[in-house]
Amino acid sequence: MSIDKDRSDLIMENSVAIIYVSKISNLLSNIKDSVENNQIKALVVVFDSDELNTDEIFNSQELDKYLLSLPILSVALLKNKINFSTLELAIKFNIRLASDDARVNLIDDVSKYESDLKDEMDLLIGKEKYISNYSSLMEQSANIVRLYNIGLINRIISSKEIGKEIENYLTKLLGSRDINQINSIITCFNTYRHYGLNCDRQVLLQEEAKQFCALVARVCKLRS
Amino acid sequence: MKIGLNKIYFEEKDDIGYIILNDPPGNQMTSVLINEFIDIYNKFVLKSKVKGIIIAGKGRHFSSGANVDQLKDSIISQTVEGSDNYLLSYPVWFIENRNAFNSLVSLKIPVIAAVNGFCIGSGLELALASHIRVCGEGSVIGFPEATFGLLPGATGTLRSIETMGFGKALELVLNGEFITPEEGVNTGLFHKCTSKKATLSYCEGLMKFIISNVKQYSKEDAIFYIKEFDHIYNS
Repeated sequence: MSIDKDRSDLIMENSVAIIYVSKISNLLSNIKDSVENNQIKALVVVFDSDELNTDEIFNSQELDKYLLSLPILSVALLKNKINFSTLELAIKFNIRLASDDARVNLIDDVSKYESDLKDEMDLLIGKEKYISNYSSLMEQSANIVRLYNIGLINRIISSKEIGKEIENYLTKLLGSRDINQINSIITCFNTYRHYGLNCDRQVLLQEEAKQFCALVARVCKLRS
Repeated sequence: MKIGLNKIYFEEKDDIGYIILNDPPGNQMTSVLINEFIDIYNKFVLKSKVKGIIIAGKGRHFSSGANVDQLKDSIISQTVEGSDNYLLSYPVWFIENRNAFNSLVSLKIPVIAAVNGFCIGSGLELALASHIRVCGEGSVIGFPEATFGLLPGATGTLRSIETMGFGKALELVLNGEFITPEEGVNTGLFHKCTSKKATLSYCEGLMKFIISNVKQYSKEDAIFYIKEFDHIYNS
């Protein structure tokens, strides 16, 4: 799998679409078309800018809304510098991968996010880990390994073989899964993200039941 | 008091109530076992005066999960689809099963799962409904549903997010692979891994410790109870 920026703005390979974050606002409509035509199972967005101005590139709320509506796996690939602006966008994705040479600098803006952090972090890290002071996780010594250990980053990949590592990761994760199955699982998980873990549990679980029964119906229909 | 059905029983011993999946070797979550679980839970467990509940499987395994073909047949015969694959209704037992698991999570008394051997699929969903989850060495843990075209359907997706976090839970559900007890503990899915033979006795000790020492139980404090108990247990 190639993630060579010079090759194209939008790379489509093996049911995976890859775009660079700097091109994101121009390309998302193309992605949506491909999703609707069942052509892709995953979207990988590469964060490689040293200075990322989220206001200029893409509003994080717009991105959030877009990603929540996307029934395919969304992956943020973090390269170079990871600051709060990068992280603010990256946590909207289902999965975060980081290259082993990525540098973390979160300390600058921590106070800005402290009040919003808890609900988002409960979801990303796990409500039952009962971490009371999330801002302490973002202290000066934060590095890729720390973000991985607390669960904010799913996997650290070698900067020397990024394309191959992403391909292996996605193959292992999605395997030969049917596009409808991926859509159901992602829709279920995105519903939890949309409502948050403090929402009535029956409302959240309704979505799981709905997707489960719909999948069973689909699998049985295909068999007959 | 012991209430025994065909595939499950509920027994009160002192202050502890034991829900035992009793269909060895696999304690498979057949429709009979699920219906009996719902029955025993609603009619006896909820009305019991015990101060804590331990859930375990009889024999070597906690549970090898659902009988998939039976599950599919049962779902498909009772699911009503409208136009554009829109789901109009799904089976009552399915909702009752979800509600029973969800109710366990919300109980005000401690609920501990003592897991050994296979704990997969809906077996893992039942374990995850417990507040404290302890597994024995060599346990096999996971959601294989994805490998046969499905997803966990009885609270497993939500509980895995609450315990492991969104990304890790999504990986577990999507790839359908099994994980080791050590990985289970590292990710937050389980609280503790013990030797295979000691799992149930450890859970009983922990339960007695909580019942005797904790004035106001809160499942949010599970890891602190374990730390305190381990301190005593190991000294």
